[in-house]
Amino acid sequence: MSKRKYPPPIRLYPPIYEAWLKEDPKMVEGGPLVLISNENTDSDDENSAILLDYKMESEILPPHYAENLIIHGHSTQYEGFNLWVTVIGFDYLLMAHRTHYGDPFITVDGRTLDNNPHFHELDYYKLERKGRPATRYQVTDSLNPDINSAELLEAFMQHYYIDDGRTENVKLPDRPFKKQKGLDDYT
Amino acid sequence: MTIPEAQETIFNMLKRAICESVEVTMVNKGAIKITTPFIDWKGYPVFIYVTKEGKITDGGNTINQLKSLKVEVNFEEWLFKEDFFDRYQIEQIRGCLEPKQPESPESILSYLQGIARIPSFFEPKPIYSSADNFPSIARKFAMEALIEVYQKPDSVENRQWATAYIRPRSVPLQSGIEVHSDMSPQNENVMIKIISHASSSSSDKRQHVAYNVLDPLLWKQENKKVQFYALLQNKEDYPRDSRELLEAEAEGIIETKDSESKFEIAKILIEV
Repeated sequence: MSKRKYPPPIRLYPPIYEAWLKEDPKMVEGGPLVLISNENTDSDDENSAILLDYKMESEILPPHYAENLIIHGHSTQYEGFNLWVTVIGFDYLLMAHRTHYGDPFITVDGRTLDNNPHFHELDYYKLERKGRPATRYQVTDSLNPDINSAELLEAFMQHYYIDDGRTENVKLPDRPFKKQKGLDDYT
Repeated sequence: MTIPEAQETIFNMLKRAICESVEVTMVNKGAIKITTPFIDWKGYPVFIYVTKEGKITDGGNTINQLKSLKVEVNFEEWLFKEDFFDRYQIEQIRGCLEPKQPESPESILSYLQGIARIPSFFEPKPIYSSADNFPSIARKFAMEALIEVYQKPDSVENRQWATAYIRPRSVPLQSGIEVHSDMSPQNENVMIKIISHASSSSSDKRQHVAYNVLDPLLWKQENKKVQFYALLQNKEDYPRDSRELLEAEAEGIIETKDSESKFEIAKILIEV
């Protein structure tokens, strides 16, 4: 019995990843991207937000990557809002973090920063742990420590040429209600 | 049990590597973050927080993530949820997942393994419906039309050239409001609206068409030179009154199903 042959998948080699970072535009389907509020856990945090997952297009990534590419984001109570570009069924390709705790980090242009918003790119040229790509920190001019979740998404889209057809800037989500913090709220 | 030395060396090496990969970081609100060697569904290390009061929690990470992937309902209705939570010693307190027995190391380890697995049970549901999708398809169509009709080689530079024409454009009016064109034709008096929602309900289609006709109407009140073009897949997908509204207000309706439509949209973007 002859074995059925499938075409070999194209691997995500470093030059393909680097070309994808520069791909302009990276179209988002079903946009524009809108941040929504999370009324459950941390609505007292003005920066808390959820970005529902949207399908992203790419003409540069191998088909099995491009067909499963999504952008999504959510907050945690102790680190705030993070954004992800992930391949469903595999790993993330890009991240944006609003905060950075722990040791200072060195950006791709050689600056040492503490708790500063930043983007995480994969560094396929520098493999760590015998196979997994290392991470490299990208900090653009618009990423200042006081940035909010909407501004982080805006900066991320601008830096990576993500086009969702929007005509206005990203806004922070409307909060459906405000948490009572004490009796003063009702006086 | 006595283990031969060669095997014991490997065992000890692995045990040390696992222990050393557990890291701690001070985070916001006086909490600490403990990062584990487990990896989640997207290749990121699984972590938990310990608050300054000593409470162990995921800080809303798991459920917020399920919300962002639009699978929260599937999780809430998951038939195995109670059994899973029991087996992995997980308790749901408002939007956070916490260990059932925080004083037991075995229970905490089970909790960690459990929260690491949860998102992988549910397939993310990206926004990708044909109703929402048409604006992207229409822009791609217009980009290809420009490259084809103006006979430019398909290169990165030419795609960037074409992208300038398919981006949305805002026009501030004297009245103080802003109207929007879904593309940016060479002629600044030309407005293109992408009409989508072809698979939505009739009332949604009516609303969508009426909403898109409003901008050119407002602009025409101030500028008599305005030309409005509607780009859609198939006119027959819309109710009769919506079609009549478009026919009355638009200088042209381009249907992407027509063989001539690429030529038409390219000419409107560059030459009208």
